[in-house]
Amino acid sequence: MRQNRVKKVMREGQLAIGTYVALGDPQVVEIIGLAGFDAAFIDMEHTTFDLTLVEEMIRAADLAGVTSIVRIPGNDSSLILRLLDAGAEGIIVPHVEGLEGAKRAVDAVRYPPLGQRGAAGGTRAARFGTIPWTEHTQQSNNEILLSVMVEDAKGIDDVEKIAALDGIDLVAVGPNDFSEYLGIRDPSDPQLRIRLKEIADKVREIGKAKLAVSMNHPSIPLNAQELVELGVGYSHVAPAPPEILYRAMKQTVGNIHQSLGRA
Amino acid sequence: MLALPVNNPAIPFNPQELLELGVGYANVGPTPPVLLMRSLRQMAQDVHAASGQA
Repeated sequence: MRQNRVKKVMREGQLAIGTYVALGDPQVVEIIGLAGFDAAFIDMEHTTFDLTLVEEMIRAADLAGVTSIVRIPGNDSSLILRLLDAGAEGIIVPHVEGLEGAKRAVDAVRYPPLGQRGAAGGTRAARFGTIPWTEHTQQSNNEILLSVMVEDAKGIDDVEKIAALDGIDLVAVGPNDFSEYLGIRDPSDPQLRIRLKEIADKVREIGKAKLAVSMNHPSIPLNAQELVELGVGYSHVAPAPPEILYRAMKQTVGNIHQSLGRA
Repeated sequence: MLALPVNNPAIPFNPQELLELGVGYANVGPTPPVLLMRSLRQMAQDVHAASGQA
């Protein structure tokens, strides 16, 4: 498989960025790539995207030269296998159930000896049998990005053990669930940043996995420079396409109505 | 009624000019993919500049 763009950017010590696909059209993935992002974030947790659509989005990401990162609805090894066999270059597991959940995710994503990913040589990921099996397994273990989200008690309590686990590339904090877990709905509450920094410091101290936190998110609004200072290696950049389009269209309609004297 | 697009690159009339022509309906550009392309490209450039990446 090809080099993973997000992992390459992080290895170079830079901040890798992706953004939400959110709309059910592979053209959005192409637009994300042409716009200069490193990754397209394909979310199956909070959308109705089905596997056929996601496979088309993965193909569009390959075409556009960006990393396809798929967030699955739960820690489901059979779904992870189908996505990886379809060529997904990254998997995000939400609400990881502590160290045990993280181990299960590694088992599903990595081939032996790191994990227990099921083997099939004729898949799209294995270029339909045209790549030597050893090469495919080694490249997959090296290049596939695995991100686990710590956003409730089990994940946050085990964050150091998770960050130290072989096979984990990113420990991600989901802003909405993290702030709900803390019981803080005011984005300006300093406790939010204090608790986030505690997690960031723990991950940085371990020195293996990188931290992932969203940029410009309404629940914890952090800009690029603040994320770099926290040691973040990868970030989804908000707003998502539906919000971008809504704002742009509302502005256009408002301008036209104003020019015509319509209320 | 006449229908013509607003701000089309080939016939760039603004809303007031269309009204004076007697236009009753207008499609407004740019299309959603173009809007999205422009916004996302600007976002990516802003983030790269802010994080010190070329």
